[in-house]
Amino acid sequence: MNLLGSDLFDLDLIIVLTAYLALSYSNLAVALFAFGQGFVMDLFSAGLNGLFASIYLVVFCAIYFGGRLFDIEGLQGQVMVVSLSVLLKKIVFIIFQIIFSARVPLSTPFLIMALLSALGTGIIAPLFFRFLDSLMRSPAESALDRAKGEAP
Amino acid sequence: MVGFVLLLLSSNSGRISTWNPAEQLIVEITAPFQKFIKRTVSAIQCIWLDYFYLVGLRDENRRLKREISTLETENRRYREQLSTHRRLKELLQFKQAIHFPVVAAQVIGRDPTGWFKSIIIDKGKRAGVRINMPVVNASGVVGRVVSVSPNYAKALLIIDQNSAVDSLVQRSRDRGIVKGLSSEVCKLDYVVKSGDVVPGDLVITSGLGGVFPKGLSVGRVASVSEGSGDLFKKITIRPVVDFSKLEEVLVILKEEKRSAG
Repeated sequence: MNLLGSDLFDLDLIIVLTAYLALSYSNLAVALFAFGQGFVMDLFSAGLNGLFASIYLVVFCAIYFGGRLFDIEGLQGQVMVVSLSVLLKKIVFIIFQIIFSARVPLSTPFLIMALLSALGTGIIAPLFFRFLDSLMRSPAESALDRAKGEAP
Repeated sequence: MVGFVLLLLSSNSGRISTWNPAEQLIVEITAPFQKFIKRTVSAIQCIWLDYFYLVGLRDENRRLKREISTLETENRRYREQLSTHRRLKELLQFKQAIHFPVVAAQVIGRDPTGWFKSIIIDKGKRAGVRINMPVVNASGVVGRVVSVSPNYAKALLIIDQNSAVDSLVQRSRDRGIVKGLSSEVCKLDYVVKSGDVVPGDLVITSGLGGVFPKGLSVGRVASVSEGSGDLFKKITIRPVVDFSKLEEVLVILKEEKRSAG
């Protein structure tokens, strides 16, 4: 049974994006981004007001502290930080559900899908980071890089 | 020259025509030229047929493909218009059947989280939409308005876990509360064990919740069971509305009587 979308395998690109922004922008800017994303989700979702704003702030904290424990510039660090953040997001969601709702989606499919989603998001994170790197780089910088590569 | 021609003609009289040595010599000399000319003409013919002619064919092929593509697009558009027309016709029939003013709205978004069940519609306060107004379609109850802005509104679907609709079983008139499970089925709570409910029964709104008018279809009973120590039956119902295909809905412009759903 699809209780609270528990059987959904979701790749959380917002967390990947937040982690990517944490590499280049100030903590305040990243926290505001995470809060803003959560706030907009709250507006369009039927959940508790402030639920996703809180969840994404917790995710920001996870990325911030994860970045201190692991090397987020490296491939393994990126996978670890993003996977743990997704997992933490699910855990926080469960905690909020326990506090504010009688129905708690603690089923085996939910836990399996939560783990798979965390792992899947973590695995795609480095690819996404490279893709965003290439998008962020200006054409002039790209040309300069190519020129450096071609130089003997 | 005339004399030479006459001489040639006279040489044919009374015998089978064959090449004399002089003619054979001429033939031997000119035949290779003839062969060369024949091959050249064939080659030109081949080039024309296999290349220049095909260039035109390719263009024609492209043009025809473009035409097919245009026609297919047009065809899809007509099919879409036909489908929309059918849905709107059903909505119009439904609108005439209920005795409340309604406003038609398009579904422009769904819950972005996947964890809750709501929709965003393109009508808001300016169209007369207010909080707790019922949202329906031609099949039955969709949900109720929970948030509203000047031009948009958010409706909580009856399949959301936070939704509850006061309902009754049409055949036996047993009352209960339809609660969402955030899945494709809902449960009908608080139907006493002595109640007469069987799978297939239609569940309709009771009109007692203050939000939904009486008699709107909610769903059909999918399963009924009874636990030994329970006071009430365990009933699951399958909503009559296909929530995965919601495109147009009607908001019933009916002011809420009570706060309960």
